[in-house]
Amino acid sequence: MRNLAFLLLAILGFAACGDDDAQPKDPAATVNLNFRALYNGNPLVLYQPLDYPDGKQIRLQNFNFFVSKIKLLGEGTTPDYQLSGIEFFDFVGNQDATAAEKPLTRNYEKVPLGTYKGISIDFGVPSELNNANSGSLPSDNPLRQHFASHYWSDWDSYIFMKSEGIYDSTGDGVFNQSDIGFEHHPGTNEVLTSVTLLQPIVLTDKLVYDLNLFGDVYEIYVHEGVALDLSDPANKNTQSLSDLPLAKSLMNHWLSALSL
Amino acid sequence: MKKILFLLLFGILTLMAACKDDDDGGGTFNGEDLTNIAYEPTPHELVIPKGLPSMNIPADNPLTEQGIELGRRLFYDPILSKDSTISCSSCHSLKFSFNDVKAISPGVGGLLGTRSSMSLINIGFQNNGLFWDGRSLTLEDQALHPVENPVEMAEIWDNVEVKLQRSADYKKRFREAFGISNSLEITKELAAKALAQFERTLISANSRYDKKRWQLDPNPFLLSDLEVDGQKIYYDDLLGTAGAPTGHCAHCHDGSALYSSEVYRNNAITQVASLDDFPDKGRGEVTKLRSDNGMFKSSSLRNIALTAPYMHDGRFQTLEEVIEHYNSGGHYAENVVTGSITTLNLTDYDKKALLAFLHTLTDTSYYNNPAFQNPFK
Repeated sequence: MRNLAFLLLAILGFAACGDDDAQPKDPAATVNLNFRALYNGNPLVLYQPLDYPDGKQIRLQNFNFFVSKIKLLGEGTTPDYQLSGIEFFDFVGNQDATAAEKPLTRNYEKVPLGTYKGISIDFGVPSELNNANSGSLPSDNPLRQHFASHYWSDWDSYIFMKSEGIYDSTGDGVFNQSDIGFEHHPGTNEVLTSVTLLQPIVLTDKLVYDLNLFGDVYEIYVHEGVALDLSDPANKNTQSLSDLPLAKSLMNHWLSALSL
Repeated sequence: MKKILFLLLFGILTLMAACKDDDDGGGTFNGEDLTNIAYEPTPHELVIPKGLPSMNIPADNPLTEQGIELGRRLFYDPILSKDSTISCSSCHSLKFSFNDVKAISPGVGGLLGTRSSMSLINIGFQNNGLFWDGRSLTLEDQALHPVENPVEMAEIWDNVEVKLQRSADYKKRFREAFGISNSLEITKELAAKALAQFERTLISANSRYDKKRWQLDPNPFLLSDLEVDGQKIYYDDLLGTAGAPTGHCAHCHDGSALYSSEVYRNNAITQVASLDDFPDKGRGEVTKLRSDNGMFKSSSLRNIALTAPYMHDGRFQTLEEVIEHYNSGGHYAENVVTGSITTLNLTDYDKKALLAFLHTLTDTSYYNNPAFQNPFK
């Protein structure tokens, strides 16, 4: 009798274990989005002279931007999957070659397995969030974290990208007061730019996937072989409402500046 | 003889027992039981005015009426300083937008540091570091520093804790605010929490420009034409129009109703041969990045007309001098963002307009708020 009871208990135990194992688990992966900033194919180092196509040099001091609706594009039976609604990337740490090699990384867990045909990213802040109300978002939201520095109250818009530096307009190889500082701060809903990159992203055979993105600042300033004339005072600052065409073109150049 | 020995022993034991309960007796003081005092904290709901962002309130330090009131008392009480001459309010006076009117605020014994005090108005909304160099990330951490700074309060927290633990009033208030059960549980961390709670209530958003910008007042003539022209210069509204004035002010002083973008910048006030030569390295001292040397946090321009002198070292006596500095472009250095800190070529009218606009950021509506005033007067 005792043996029988023991046997029953053992069977029950096994059965219980079996149930646990049989519980459906959503197959999922972790995607690490690694974003590197480049200048003409090389890691972007701030405060270092960078060759400009006109034979002169520029030096960047700040480079940061918002991206939104980062989406994996589904293929076949795999639906689209949004990795993140909003992110802020600031390359302030790119102050030497070693630091510039390291990407800024965001981790997204529980990404459904499947075959994705590529990725789409909006550069800027979606119109529904692009207003003062985003300052009331929880403190861990990038739009709240960077509200003071990037919300431009006079437009009721965020500054989508800050690219600040100096252009050696005299061409003497020395950056000083005689040269032209530039401060490009495009914002407003009109300049939001969507970029789609098609390259298969297969999340079926591994649970951790590194998605490496590269943003080349050179491509933002030099588009299809034509460089923005930084000697022209009209191109010194971009504030969108007053310089909408320039702001739009700089943001549109993300189409060629971004690569996988 | 036995009797005498017994009496002696009894006397010694009695004395020892007495010492144990006497904090002045040199024995072990076990503190005072406070559980007979009611602990019924009342949550305090902050009302965030239009134009201001959300406030980050740590989960372990929610605002309560009792905590805020304790913080107000600590803020105004010189008990925090070595010789009971300096309180937080000595350098952060209500009538100067919780600032003072000194280039460098004197501490205990009149000792001077190297930097000007900062306004505390709307300090609770800041989330990119506190102090001119951003070395503290939270108000709770910030509040710990001035007490032990030798040129500020010059005290040590151990002493402050003892002083607070001996005060009947503070024992009661710490119990009511934080539910401590024994007076020895009064710590610097709790004092800092109370100070932070009070500071989070120091909200101002009722300047004439606030009223216009956030449509708090339907009067279409809240700002004069001169002030409106100044606003356009401040926000670069005319940028792109050839010959139109632009001040680039808002690049560092926007953040909506904060009037601070909370960025660290070298605002070109110090002439140096290289980035290594700043007499005060500011942000660079904290981050250890050479490119951050000489950078300081862009302070809020709310109530700027009340908080002279200006800059981290109080070098400019008037707003006119400040405008003149920025109009000149200042001193070049590698880390100056010369896209906006550059020669502006403002006319006398432009400068006057900009000055007029800066005055529209003044809000004195909280002056008479009893919740902000010195409770000891």
